[in-house]
Amino acid sequence: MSKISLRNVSKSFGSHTVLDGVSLDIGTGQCVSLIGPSGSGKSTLLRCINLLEPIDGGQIFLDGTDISEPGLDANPVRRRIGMVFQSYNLFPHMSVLQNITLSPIRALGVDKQSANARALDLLERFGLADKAGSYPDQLSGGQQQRVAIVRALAVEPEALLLDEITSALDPELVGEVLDVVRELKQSGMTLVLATHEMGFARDTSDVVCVLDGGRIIEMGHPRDVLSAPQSERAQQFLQRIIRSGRM
Amino acid sequence: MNDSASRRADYEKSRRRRSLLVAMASSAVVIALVVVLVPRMPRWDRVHESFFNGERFADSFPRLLDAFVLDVKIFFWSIPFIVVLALLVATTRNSRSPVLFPLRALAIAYTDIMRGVPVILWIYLIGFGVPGLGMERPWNSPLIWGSVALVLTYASYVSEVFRAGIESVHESQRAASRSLGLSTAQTMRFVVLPQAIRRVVPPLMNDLVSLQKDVALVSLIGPIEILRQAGVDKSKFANFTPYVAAAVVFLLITIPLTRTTDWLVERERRRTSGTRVR
Repeated sequence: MSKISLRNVSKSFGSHTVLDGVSLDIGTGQCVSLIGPSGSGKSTLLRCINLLEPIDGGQIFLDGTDISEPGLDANPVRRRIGMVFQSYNLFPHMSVLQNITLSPIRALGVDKQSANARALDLLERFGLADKAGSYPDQLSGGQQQRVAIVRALAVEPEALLLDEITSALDPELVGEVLDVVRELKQSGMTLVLATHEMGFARDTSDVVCVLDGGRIIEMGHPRDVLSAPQSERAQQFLQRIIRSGRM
Repeated sequence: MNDSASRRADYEKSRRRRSLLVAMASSAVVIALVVVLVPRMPRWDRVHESFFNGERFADSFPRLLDAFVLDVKIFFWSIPFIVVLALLVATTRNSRSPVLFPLRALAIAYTDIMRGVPVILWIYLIGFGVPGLGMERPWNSPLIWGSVALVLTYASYVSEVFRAGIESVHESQRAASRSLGLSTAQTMRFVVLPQAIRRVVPPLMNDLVSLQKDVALVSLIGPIEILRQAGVDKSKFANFTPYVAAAVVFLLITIPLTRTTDWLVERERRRTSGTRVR
């Protein structure tokens, strides 16, 4: 059974259709990359899976349970699906440690000591142990994004949604964040990422989806999709990417 | 390289010395103008006698200080009520739940009405009106109802300050908090409000300083606080110096208050932020 399944999901903002019947199955431990031009619906799709945006039509299943049911309590679901954002969205008034332990303490009811211990373990694992007492504004972009990933992991989610998490970073800092994602993939985490890093999508993901105009226009093994796209739109998009030197 | 470093240090030093000199010179000019020009005014000796009379000042000052204790009391017992009420109103106005619509409408009406009428009118209306209902002592005290009028009006000002602060916290902060599984209420309490309140500390202090001054308006419905006491002294000796003395007493408390806040804000900024642009 798939970890996350989308059935014919649609979403519009006013008269603007952002998602137009998206169906997708994401298996446990799979890494799925969503690529496509800006405005193609990648971010909205991730926000819908995290229930940050209500969908207008279709269904979203987590372990076979419909989580898009209107009126369903979203908080327990969000604890099972973590999300990391393009602009990190760390809480600037809290230290790194407080950022990471906020949800475990307040939402999961973990006591402070074990939450701190676990947060320090995670920071250690991602090479951030010395930053526990720092504030977000005192860190580099790459460090902030790694802290944001640790913060999402601290809630012990079953899947992680990564929304263009390297797009705001200097090229030299992209590597350290992608290393973290690779490690997560190796540890068996289910990952869905919206990305412009084609090389990374090719090497790390199990499935690549090309979105355009709110539809999945091409989906399959990264090698097939990225080197021999079938549809004309996908070919055009990849041509532009290649010309801009990003692949 | 050492040479260039020391040249830079010298340059910085000379620049600092220069700014200090300019500041001192301009202050000296302003003070000299005041000291030289004001006493040359035709009626200066009479103003000096009736506003800056040292003897009257020394005589009134301790009495005014005593009366000021009441102002400080009203100020301090009003603040917690103002803050709590203002936070309630601000968070209600920011809530999105349709169930809370009636409360939201009430909160909007409350801020509109309280802010739209001068403080002094509320003090008269509430301070004279409510005790008129004939409640038993101490519930008919103008002190209580004058304070209530201050709390209600200032809570409406402060709630707008809080609301602006809450709205200034970017939506992405809420998204991050919700994505971690925190509820709307937890998001408000742990993520939005702490940031909102930090941002509005300066305007908030502004309101508190003006509250500290408006406390004196309560004297209009009876209690003998500093302004009233100064009025009594003025009438007794037909001399305005007690008013000047009262002004000095107010400054003694408001200036340290604002300086302390600035210092606290600066310390917090230094603690949480990265490097600063010069």
